[in-house]
Amino acid sequence: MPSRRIREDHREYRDIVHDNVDDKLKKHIKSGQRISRRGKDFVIVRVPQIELPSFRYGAPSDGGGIGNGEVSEGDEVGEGPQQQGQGGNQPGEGGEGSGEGREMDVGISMDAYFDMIGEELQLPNLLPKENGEMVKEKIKWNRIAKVGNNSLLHKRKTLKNAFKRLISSGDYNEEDLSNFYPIKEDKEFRSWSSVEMPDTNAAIFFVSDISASMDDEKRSLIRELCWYLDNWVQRFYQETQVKYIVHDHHAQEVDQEKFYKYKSGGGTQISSAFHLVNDIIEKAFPLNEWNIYVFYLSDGENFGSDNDLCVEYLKTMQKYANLIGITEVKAVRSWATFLPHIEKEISTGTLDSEKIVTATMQDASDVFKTLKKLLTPSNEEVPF
Amino acid sequence: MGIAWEIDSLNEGVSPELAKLIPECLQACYDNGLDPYPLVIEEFDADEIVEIAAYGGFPVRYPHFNFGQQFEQLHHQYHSGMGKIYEMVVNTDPTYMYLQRNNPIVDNLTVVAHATAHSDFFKNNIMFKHTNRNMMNVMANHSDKIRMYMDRFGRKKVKDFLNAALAIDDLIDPSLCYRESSLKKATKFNFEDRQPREHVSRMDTKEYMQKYVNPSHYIEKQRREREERTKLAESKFPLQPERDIMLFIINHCRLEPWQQNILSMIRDESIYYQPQGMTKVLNEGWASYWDSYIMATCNFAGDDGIFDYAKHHAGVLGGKYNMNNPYKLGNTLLRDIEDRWNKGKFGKEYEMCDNGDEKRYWNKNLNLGREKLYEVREMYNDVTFLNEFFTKDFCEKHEYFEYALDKSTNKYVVVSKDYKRIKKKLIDRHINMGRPVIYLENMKYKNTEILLRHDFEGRPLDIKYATGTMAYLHEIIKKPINILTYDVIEEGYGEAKESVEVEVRYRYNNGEMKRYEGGKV
Repeated sequence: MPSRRIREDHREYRDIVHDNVDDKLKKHIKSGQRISRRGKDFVIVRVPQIELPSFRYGAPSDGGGIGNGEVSEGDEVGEGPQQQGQGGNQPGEGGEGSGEGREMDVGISMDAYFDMIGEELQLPNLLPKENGEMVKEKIKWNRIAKVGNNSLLHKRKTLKNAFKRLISSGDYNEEDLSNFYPIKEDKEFRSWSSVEMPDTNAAIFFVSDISASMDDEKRSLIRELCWYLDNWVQRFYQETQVKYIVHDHHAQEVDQEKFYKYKSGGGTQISSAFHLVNDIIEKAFPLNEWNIYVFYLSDGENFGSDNDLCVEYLKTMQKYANLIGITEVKAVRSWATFLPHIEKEISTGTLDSEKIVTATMQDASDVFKTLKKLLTPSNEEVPF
Repeated sequence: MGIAWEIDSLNEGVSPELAKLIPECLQACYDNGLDPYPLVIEEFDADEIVEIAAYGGFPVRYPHFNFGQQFEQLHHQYHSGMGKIYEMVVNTDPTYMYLQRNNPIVDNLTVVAHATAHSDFFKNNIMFKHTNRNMMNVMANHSDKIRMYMDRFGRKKVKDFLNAALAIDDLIDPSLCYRESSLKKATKFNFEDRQPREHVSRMDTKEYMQKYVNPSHYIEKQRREREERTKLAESKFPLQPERDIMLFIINHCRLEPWQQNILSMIRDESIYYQPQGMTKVLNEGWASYWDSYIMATCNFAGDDGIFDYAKHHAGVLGGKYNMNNPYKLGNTLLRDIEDRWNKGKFGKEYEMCDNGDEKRYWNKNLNLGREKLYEVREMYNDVTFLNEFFTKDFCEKHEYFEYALDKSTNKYVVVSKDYKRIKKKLIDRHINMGRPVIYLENMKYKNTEILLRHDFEGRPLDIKYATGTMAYLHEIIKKPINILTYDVIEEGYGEAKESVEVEVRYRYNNGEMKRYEGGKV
């Protein structure tokens, strides 16, 4: 465990780079760049290393050095400067810098990152359903009982009682405490009571098309978007369950890895997926306990005759769901009939425009734009 | 056979499996002639060792964000698998070495051998002769003092001053490590520098001999010289350019006592680290020479462990082309020296021989290699080491090359295999630890300003960094700071393009840096 001292210094450093990191992240988000490197609960940002100045030579114009090995003049010996140096096995000795600002990685907690995304994109908070009375019984250790298991003995209270008893009976003697011990009547035990806590759970359904038209590029865009959606929804609920569903002409539930990797050659029948989602919700997610988010991602290609069936299923779904997001990735307009159909239905009022949101995505720089569009209520203007 | 060290905290500090093996490893080092300080060996978890490494091996340092930055960097490197911390050795008596608990046992044994060689180097190399070996306590005292100042005078004020002090901490005299440091400790103000003596020296003699022994022209000459000195002293101080600028500031500038104290503490730490910076190649080469000797040649790693050892060894010394790897360079050079002195490939006879084949198969079976190595570890620093032993033969045998960045493709490209250029580049990197040499020229420049001079040998200063440093100097001295240096400017176009060196003076005052060309003193 790091000591207090290093934590102080570390905090001071973080305070200094804080603005730097913020600026960098904001720039990234503004320009639609995503943070490509991330861990389980942090993302990594590159910031310039902070150095105290000292007299030093200007960067040598060729930025080179000395090496050895079998080469001849003109050979390439390495990639350009990402980071100079030879790895980190001798810490503490800075070595000589190349004069140009060196950069280093700083880990940012996921919370801070998404705070910033929320702030930058002005995403509204997700609200739990109003009608659902989601209450969970929880145990709180806040009571004292006269009986109980010895391991739950409340020692301080017990000893206090023993003292009280001793003093009130007049046997208390400061010099001789041999008669000071708790008897059965003194003992008090910790105990619990059950408290009703408002509880918020969310189920996220990611539904994707895996038919042949979905190439790797589209899939990676989907993956990117899902990561953000997933993390954003998770911020607002105590517990989230994520379900992955893929479909071609029929749908199946898969795990995360398969969701991103599965491929199939078959045709496309979107309604099959919506049917499956409805099925799962009815079976496994009692509506008064779960907030339900459904995100559908595909290139919008569908059997024309299937579109009406989809609308039917969506009508059922919008009764359950907090939000249904439908995203078209790199759609070829003449083929993609699905999204225009849905949009038409929304504009006529058959589908609820509060619940169902649509978006399109062309390339990686659109991820934040799409994210914003999906998560902002439809009646607000999207300032992009 | 007595082992020359006691391993007192061994049993608490190290896992039992390792503790069993360490004495044998140390005995092997001892049998081969290594002579280290007593050792204190401790094992730590990765997170702890990252923290210790961030503080440079010392458990207690003054508060500074730089350590936090180091921590962030190392922590991150470790947890993303980009860098592994093997060891930390601290130059103290006894020598502390820190191992990482969850490294393989062979790695840790290697580190013990490696660090023992470091300790031996610290103890015996001439550059370390006058280093303070009690630095654990000294650093802790510095930390206490600076914390106390922060409480008394305000955190921000002290931190700002500390930053300023750290920015100029390399403006010290590198020859200090040849001298007893206490001699050059901050002393009281020396009035003699300011007021040259009034009297003219006469030889003692009888009255009637005076005009023969001390003739009037001799007296007159002395008087004139004295007057010149006095006149010069009015506009110039110190009379000789001064290298140890930090000491000079401590002694001669108007500072609060706590500021003086902080400066002298930072100077002490800087002096302590100086020899380590001056012997990096040699020291690392020496240590990796020994860990491979103990682990592989003495077969200490055993048949199973040798793979782990090889992996470790490759991790440190490997890498394609070994670009800028001081470990590798030092190691290769030391092995070459051992080989040459074993075979007698030195001296006039060998140098004069011009028969290539004879030279190649030269072998006199002198077996002086090990002896020579011990001599090198005792008497050399990086500059002298490279200067003497980076020979043309060596350079060609190991195919050293110079590379440069091709900006159009962002790739490093080999530009030259010329021995002289390579050697110059290598040595340049280690002269004054690769930093420019700065003198304090005059504290009475234009009566109220400070003049520094950069000893120019072809490489110009980085003006951005110079501005920052001078800003900090200005913060300390509170006078305008000037520096004399040269700029390299490209003149002409196309074929006729050439670099011209122009003498310039930069002047920093109140947040502004101005450039004056042709600025004579």
